[in-house]
Formats: sequence, C-alpha cells, structure tokens
Amino acid sequence: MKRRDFLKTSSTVAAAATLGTSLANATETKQKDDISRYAPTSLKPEYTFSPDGELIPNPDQRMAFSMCYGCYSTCSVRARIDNNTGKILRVAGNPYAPSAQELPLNLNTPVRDALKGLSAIEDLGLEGRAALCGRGNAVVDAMKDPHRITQCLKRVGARGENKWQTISYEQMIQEVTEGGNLFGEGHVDGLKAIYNNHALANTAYPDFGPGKNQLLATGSSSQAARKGFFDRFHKQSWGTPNIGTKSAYCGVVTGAMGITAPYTADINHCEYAIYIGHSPGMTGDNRNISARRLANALERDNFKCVIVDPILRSNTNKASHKNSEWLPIRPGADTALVFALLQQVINKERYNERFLAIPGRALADKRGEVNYSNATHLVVKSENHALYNQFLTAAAMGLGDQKTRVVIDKLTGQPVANSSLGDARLMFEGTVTLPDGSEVQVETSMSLLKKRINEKTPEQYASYCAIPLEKIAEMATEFTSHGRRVAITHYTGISVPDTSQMAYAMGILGTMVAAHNAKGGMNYGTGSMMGGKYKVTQSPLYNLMDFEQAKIVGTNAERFGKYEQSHEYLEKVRQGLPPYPANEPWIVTNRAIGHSGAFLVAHANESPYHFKAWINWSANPFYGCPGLQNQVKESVRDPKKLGLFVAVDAYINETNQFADYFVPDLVQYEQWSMARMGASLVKGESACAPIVESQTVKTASGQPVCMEQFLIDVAKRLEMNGFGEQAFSDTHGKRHPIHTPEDYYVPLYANLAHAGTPLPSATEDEIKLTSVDRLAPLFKERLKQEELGPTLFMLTRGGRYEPLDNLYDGEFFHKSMRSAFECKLYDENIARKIHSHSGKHFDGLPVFDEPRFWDGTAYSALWKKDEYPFVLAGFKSNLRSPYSVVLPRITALGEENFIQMHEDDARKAGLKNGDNARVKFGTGTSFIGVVQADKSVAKGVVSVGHGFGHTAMGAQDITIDGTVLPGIKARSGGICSNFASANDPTVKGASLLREMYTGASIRHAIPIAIEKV
Amino acid sequence: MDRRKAIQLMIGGAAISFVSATPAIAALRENSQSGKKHLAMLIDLRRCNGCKACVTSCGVENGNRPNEHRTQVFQAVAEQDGKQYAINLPLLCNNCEEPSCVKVCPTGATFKREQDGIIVVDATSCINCHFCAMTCPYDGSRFTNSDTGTIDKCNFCIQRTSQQLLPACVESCPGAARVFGDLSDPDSVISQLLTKHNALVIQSEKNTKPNVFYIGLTQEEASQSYSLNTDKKWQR
Repeated sequence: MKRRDFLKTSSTVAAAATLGTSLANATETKQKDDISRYAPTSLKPEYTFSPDGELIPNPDQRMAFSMCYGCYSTCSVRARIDNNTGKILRVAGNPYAPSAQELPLNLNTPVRDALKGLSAIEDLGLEGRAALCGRGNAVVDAMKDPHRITQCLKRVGARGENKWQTISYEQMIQEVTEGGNLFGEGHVDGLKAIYNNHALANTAYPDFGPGKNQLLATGSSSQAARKGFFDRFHKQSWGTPNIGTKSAYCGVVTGAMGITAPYTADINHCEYAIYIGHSPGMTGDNRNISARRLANALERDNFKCVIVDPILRSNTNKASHKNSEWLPIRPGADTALVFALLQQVINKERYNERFLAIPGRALADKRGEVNYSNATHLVVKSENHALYNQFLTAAAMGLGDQKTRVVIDKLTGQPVANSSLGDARLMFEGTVTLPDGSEVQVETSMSLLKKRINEKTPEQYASYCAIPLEKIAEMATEFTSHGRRVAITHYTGISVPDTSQMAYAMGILGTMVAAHNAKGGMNYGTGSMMGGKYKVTQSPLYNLMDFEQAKIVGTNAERFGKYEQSHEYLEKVRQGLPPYPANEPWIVTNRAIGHSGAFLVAHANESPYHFKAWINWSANPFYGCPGLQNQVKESVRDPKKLGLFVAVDAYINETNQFADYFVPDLVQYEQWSMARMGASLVKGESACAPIVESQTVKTASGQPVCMEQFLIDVAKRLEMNGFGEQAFSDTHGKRHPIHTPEDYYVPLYANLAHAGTPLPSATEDEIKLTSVDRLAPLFKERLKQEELGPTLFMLTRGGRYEPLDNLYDGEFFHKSMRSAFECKLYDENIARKIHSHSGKHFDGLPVFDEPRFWDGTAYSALWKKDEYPFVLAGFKSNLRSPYSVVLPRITALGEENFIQMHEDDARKAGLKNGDNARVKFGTGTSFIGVVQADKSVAKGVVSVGHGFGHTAMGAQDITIDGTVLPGIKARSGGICSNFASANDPTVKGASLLREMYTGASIRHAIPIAIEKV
Repeated sequence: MDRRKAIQLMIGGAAISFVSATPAIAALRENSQSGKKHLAMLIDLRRCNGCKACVTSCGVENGNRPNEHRTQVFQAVAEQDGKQYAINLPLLCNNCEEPSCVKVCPTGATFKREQDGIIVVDATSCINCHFCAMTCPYDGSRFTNSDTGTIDKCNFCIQRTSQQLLPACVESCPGAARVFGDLSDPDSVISQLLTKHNALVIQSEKNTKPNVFYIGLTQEEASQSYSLNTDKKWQR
C-alpha cells in the first residue's frame, strides 16, 4: 500500500487495532532488550567498556591502521576486521593522523587512551572524532569488487577486445622478459631485449638516447612509497627517462616552473580567504581535516571566505551565508581577477610596505621575517646589456658577488647590495652607473609589476572575468584589512590555459600583505617528511639506494629540456634554416613534468621514437587526460607500434584494457603504503603494512602478485642492479637482498621510525590492540632486535609525523611547518626561458593574456565566439575519483553527472532540464549528456563533473577464459568530457591542448557549442 | 487536518510553525530531571559540507544495501540576499518524543525505549505492514530492509550507543556537524549547544517532538517536508 493510499483509508486505525490484538504476544519479549533484535544487520562494536571505563576489545574483531586510497589524499585510517572471515568490516579515521585531527594526538598517547577518546564516554569522541569522508567509508567494498582482477591475465584476440586468459605468474614473467611470437602476430621484443639495446632508438634523433629508453613507465605518484619503488626499477635501475604520472593533467605543475604556488590557507586563524577553483574539504586537498577546519572557521565572527568557481559546490552552504559566498567566474579568467585585485592593492598603496621594502635575507632575519620579496630588486632594462631582463647583480655593480642583487637604498638613494640592512626603495626607474662608467637602465620589480597590472583598465579585467567592479574593490579592501591573516589559494592548480600565470599572480597578492608562512595566512609546510631533511630511503639505518644506479642517457620523450641544445635545433642552424618553430612543443620548466599524455603523444607521432614497451601501474591517462584517448588510441592499439603493454592494477580501466598482460595489484589495506597527508598542515606520513591477506593470486613461491613482486622478478631475470641478492646496504656496509616487497619496505619503515629522534618502543598490549603482532614476524626476520621497537611503534600509530607542540611560532608557522623563500614579483629564471615556437623569451612578470595555442594563435581566432559561445569547465565531484566508480555505495548516490549550465543560457540555447544535449569542440569531437540548468553555474559556462562516464572499471563486459563477466550498468552512467576534449590544432600530428607556459594539460576554458539532440 | 493538505499548505508558505521557535529548549526543560537518558542528535548545518560521509558510514555500519538509507542528505540550491548557496540537510529518523509510528504498530515491534528514548524496530516481531512508515510525517525515514524483510530505520546506532560509542554518522562526520548525546545531562555537549543556539526541528507542527535538532535551519526551511528518498541529481 502506498502511503498516500493509506491516508485515504479511513478505517486504517481500526485495522491496526485489530492486528494489534491478535499479535500482542510478540511484544512481550521486548523486555529482554536483546540489541540484536533491533540491529540484526548492524556490526558488533569493535570494543566496549567495563563499568569502570576499561576498554574491552571484541575478540571476534581486530583493529589495524592502514591507508585509504579512495582518492589522492591518502588519509590514514583505522580498520575493523572480522577475525573469522578476514573481511574489512568498516573503516574510520585514525585519531593519531594529521588527516583527521587539528593537531594530531601526540604519538606517545597510549592506544587505549586514543581509542577511548573516540567514544561517547564524557562526550570525548565529539571533540576527538577522527573522521573519514563519504568516499573513504565506501572504499571497504573495493577489495571484493566482482570486477577486480586477481589473476595474471594475457590477452586473447586483438588489443582492447577485453578477452583474456588466465596464465601463471611464472609464464607471464617468462613471456614479458623474453618476448617472442607471443600473440601469433609476429615477434615481440621482451623487456630483456629492450633493456639491453644500447643502439640509438632513432638515428634521426640522436639526442634522445638509446633503445632502452623505449620503455615508458606511468604510475601513481600519490602512493608515494610505492612510487619510490616503481621509480627504483625504471629510473635508478633501468634508466629510462620516460616516467609519467598524472600530475601534468591533474594540475600540479606550477612548481616545475619555479613558481611558489599558494598552497593551503591557514583557516584556523585566517580572517579572509579567497579560494579560486577550489572548494576546501571537497576535493583536492585533504578533505577530512579541511572540512573540519573550514567548519570551525565558519563559526567564527571574524572569518569570511569567497569561493571563486564557475560552479557552486556543496560547501558554500546557506547556513553559513553570513561569512561565506560563492562568486561565479568565467573559467580561465582567474588571472584577470587576480590582476584586478593587484591593481586595486598596488594603485591604492594598500600593500605592506614595511615588508616589501626588505631587500633580502639579512634584514628579513633581523626583523624576524620568514620571507622577503624581490620587490625592490633592480631589473636591467637596457636591451643591449648582457643582463637584460635579469636582475642587476652586485658583481656587475662592484658591490658583491653574482648571487647578490642590487637595490636602491631608501635613505641614501644609492645602489646597494640587497644584503644590506636598510630598507630599499619600492619604486625606482632610472639609470645606475656601473664601475666602468657606463650607465644602465634599471627598474624595480615593484615598478615593473605596477606597469604590468595597469596595462588593462579595471573595467577590462572585470568584464573579462565577469565579476562586477564593486565586488573586486570590496575583495581588495577585505584582503588588505586583516594584516597577514588572509589567504588566496587554489591548491595544486587549475588546469586552465594560463594556470602558471594565475598561480604566480596569486602568490604575488599574498606577498603584498606578507601572508606567506604567517599564522592565519598561507601555509607551505605541509607534506612529506620522507624526503626533505630525513631522506629515509637512504638513512639512518639502511641505504636502500646504495647500488650502482643507471645513468640516464638522452632527452626524455616529452621533450623536457633546452630546444636550443637539441639535435634538431643545431641541424637547422647548420643548414641555415630558421630554428623556430621547433617541430614539436618543448617543455621549458625547471624539471620534467612527467606528463603521461605527452609521452603517449610522442609515441603516436613516433617522434622522437615509438615505445617498445609500456608498463602502466595504477594510472588511467586515457580517462584522466583531456583529449588524449582520441589522439593516441590507435597507436597504442597497434602491436607493430607498441610491442608490449603490461598493465599493473586492480581493475581493468580505460587505459589498460588495451594491455597485453595484466598483473593483478593490491588495493588499500593489502599494501605496504606510506604517503603524505595533503593539506594536513603537518609534515608526516601514514605508514602501514598489509592488514589483511591480499586477494591476488600467489607466485609459485607463495608471494601475492603485486606491482613490487612483478618488478622484482623481472629485474632479477634481467640482472638489473638494486634487486635480488646484494640489493642495498645497511650503515655497517652489510649487503641485503630484495626478493619480496617486505625486503624493501621493512628497512624503509625502520628508517622512517628512526629518522631524527627515533620513536619509542610500543608495548605488547598496543602491538596486539593494533594487530601489529600479525606483522611482527616480517619485521623480526629482517631487522636487528634494537630496531624493532620503534618500527613496530610506528605501525601501532599508523604512521609518523613531525612532533610539534604548536603549529605556530609567534605570528608565523612553527619552523618545521614553514618554508622560507624569496617572494617573487619578478622571476628572472622564467625570463631566461625561450618559447619553442616563437623563439621569444618568456616574460619575467606574470602575464594576462587570452588563451592561445602553441603557435600563438588565440583560441578565439580558430574557435569563434559566434560558433562556440560557451566555455567548458570541469570540477572534481564530491564522491567521485577516477577509481571510486567501483564502489557500490558511491554509485548508489547517483549514477550520472550532468551538463550543468545557467538557466538563462539554457533557455537561450533552447534547452531545459532533462534534455539531452551535445557539447561540441572546435576540433569536431563531442559528447552527449543530460542538461541540468539552474542559477548555480556562471553564465556562459558548461560545467561537467569528473569521475563519471566510464567505459571500463567494470562498466564493460570482460571475457576471461571464455566466461563473460557482465558489465555493471551503474558504472557507465554520465559523461567523461576528457574522452572528447580538444587537442591543439596548431601542432602537427597527435597533440594535446596545453598550458601556454608549462605544458600541462588544459581541462577548462575550452570554447564549445551546445545543441539539443 | 488531512496530511496531504497540510503539506500543500507548508509548501505554499501559508502555514506557520505552531510550536516554540526553540523546541530544543523545551525538550531540555522537560527531560533534565527524569533520571533517564534522553538521547538526541544535533546537526549544525553551518558545519555540513554535504560530503555524505554520514550516508556511507551508516550503510557500512548497519549492513544496509547500498541503495537503502537510514540517513540521507537533502541537497539543493537556494538563494539568500541575491546569492546562490547550497543547502545540505542531513535527514534521518527523528526518534520523536511523541512518535506516531509507535501508536500504529500492530505488533508492538516498534517502540520507544524507556531507558534512552531510542525508537527501535524489533525485527523478530515486525510484520512489515508499513503502518509506521505511512503514518510517519518524515518521508523515507522508515523503509523495508531488503535483507531482513522488516522495517528498518535509524536507531541512533543502538548497537554502538548502548555501549558508550558514538553513532557511525557522528564519528565519521568530517565537519563535526553532527553532535550526539544525552539531553538529560545538562553538561553534555549537545545540551550546552542547544542552550546556546536557536535550534529547530523539521516540521514541528506535526507535533511528534523530534529529537533531531538543527542549527542554521530557518523557520521557513524547517516548515517544509523533506524525503530521504532524494533524486540523487546533486553531484557536486
């Protein structure tokens, strides 16, 4: 009976009364109060308390700390495991972890106290709760997913047909290393032949090195320790320069350009925060702790935040309307907004002059400042001078060395070294006289910046970003009305055509008020303690890197490096041809961006060469990299072009469905995993060993198959260094082997536990309570007795973080939590870089420009506004990550995403809610989706959330050994705009649409048309 | 008044809440001297970012199928002062003081526990007649559990809360928006918060005296009816 029908039935109450009489006896048993009657399907508690508050663990369950991989935040979690079935029952946050607590519990807190602190006793758990997000809670189902691959597979039929046979691990190792006529399609080089090929890969490109470079390795850098192992094989031992990650199609590349991009806003004490294209607590950064911090801040009267984004997200909630707002912006126009803000701040002189006038480190130290800026540094503007567009050096002025720069002393008006202890002039434009008597034109960075940001009028910026002038003025006033307790951040970058410039300008805005590293300002200290000062792969107990490492020969295939030193350039010059443009775009960042998509584009174009083998681990570039699949799929599908494709993963994703061999990998909880916790404000890592038995098939020697085991066994067959016997040494010089993952991770964990001040030892009780007793034998077999205590202690806490009593030190972050740097208003290093198409130097100042292709043509010139009146923007959905589609509790909360747009735009385009519409790119590609129109999207924008529209990951039928594993419909719902996204039509051959400066991929601000279908 | 008519009136904005603007205070006053626990939940909407950790953690903890929810988050776009905002409104069984469900249960399977005020469903005596679900003014908070074939609903994770542990949704809430505790204890966090803030219940005019309170809910929002059976079109 439907509820409404029930209400219509007037006799219902009478009927109930009758039934009640006849079944009255059933109620008698309720007095016994057996909870299981009321909660028949609920879990039994993991522990209870005695009347005097003593913790009593449930003997049927165990608790263990592990790491979540529901997204790339890699939070530490506490898992409950059924002792009888070995199944993970539930996961929650780890109270020791910086990912869950404002200030993580002191590691010395006994485990029993930590667990009690999560309970309802005296309401302790309300303050002490260690939360885990919606996706993290749902990840429990990943292990036993019906589409999870646990066997070693070899393809049957053509690539991409999704037909497989199971083979033994040993057969797989044999075939991928030795090669042969593996598929009846002709000879395939095995890894051994490729590894030993020292002849040039392509004689037309001698600077790209030998044939052994024709191994492409792509993997997941977020699983930090595992990636370290992956790189050990590919980089340090094999020596291929071609290692890709998702970073350059996810957003994190500004650092590669040398730009200190704003990272985390310290909303614990911030009074005004501007978030651009980033919703704290929703995506990107560590959502658990960010959500808590933002919630705390929103309760404060002295906090306001603005979330600048083309689409309204859930975290700008109405209940907090007094201090939070969503500000719609045109995608790709963030630089215009930041320039407009800078214009207000600089023209009205609302900046922190006392800070900006500090010429260098010496006065900064004296003043107790963490940072200083180059606002007062003189840039040479005489075109004929050797230092044109570079900073005037103290050496050139006869005032000091090459590294020291020159400023105009505020008091004397004379040029002095920036090591002086006096304030310097912010605004100066004029000439200085060099020791040889010649005059040189110079100008301060601040003066140059002021001119730059005034190249456009306030109205022009406002119109470009579609934000009213008054709003910009209000934001500029707010930003400069709270001392240093303000922040502007975007977290890891937005994939727009000028991400680097936006990030650069945002950093400068922070510099104007000296908010960097300030309490309540902008934090740069979060992250890993593995790298940095501790270098735990090398010390203090074991030097895992002590083996003869390969020398990488040749430029990498994504063309990172100096085009002007390339064979191509030199040949063109030798032949008297114009060297510019280069044949393909070059990446001119300070370090390789490792763009998996760019490597595959190189492969498709066979320039500098095609790859002979590709090992793709835990990565899905075909799904995640905009526009990649349609550019390179055929070249990956063709066995003549790509001889060998080995996928290592737990699921058959959109990329590795084209693989020849599939190595089943471990999922979270089964792995050794150690990684930083993003945005936690605390340096540290989660660190855990397998807490449940893995689901993957075993090798003949009884080891579960996984990425590490596969690489170890390949390396041993190829006699590669750093694996097998004598793989590394301890600090006494004794050599140790690597035959299994634990041979590597146990000493690595011992190093982390002993770095700096070693951790204490855990009690037997704690070791048992956290199920570390199950793992202890692996450690006992490999460590010295005295190394055991601290190492096991770390596992009883789920990781380690830099100990600190306070996040702060006065008005700044604590010294372990901050990063002292020169705040750049002008970057001479960027000014030295040369664009590989135009041959022109880059600008040392941030640039506001409309989006342009590689050849300098504006997008708007090819994709005209009247034909492509909208722009595409994407966002990372709340519950979706590239992998979360396999979680039934996630798909149950919505199987599809939408083409989201403003209702006025929809009306004009003849669209209404629920219509099917086609979104077309200027390159002719398109996708179809369902329209959702309201007022929560900026005008002129079509917004599509990511994480939907899967064609693999269990969405597709898979045939293994002749049996069809049917696809799950719930997984294919919605749209993936990346499949159709545009490439760069001004680049020959396969290409990607790329950021104008760093070469990262573009996801947003791409012109599109939309029509009803 | 006919229920359907009442709903129409609410949506039309014609009806006004009949009960005090701060029913939480009234609840506190009534129960502080009883000597028994009065378990309740408070949801601070200012702290909720709609992440749905409550939804998934509840499902795992209580062994519900992925598409059967004891708690859900209603989400929508709303305007305030000419600006667009998200509404994130977590919904669950209100474990009311004067529940309509208990009155109509023909077997006595659903009843309010004296010792803590939780309304439970005894799966061994529930006949899945749906009378309780039909009379409950809070749509979707009661549903048939496909595995047991009996009525299921939020019981404040009784298996945990009866053992001095927190409900799954509360311990998993990243924004710490959900607060759970004993209203009989004037020093409890929830009592303190309810004293300090003007918390509302949803549809107080139904006179069931809910034990789920909301900070940040407006009178107008509180008077609307919501359903746990959301349309799942909010993907942001």
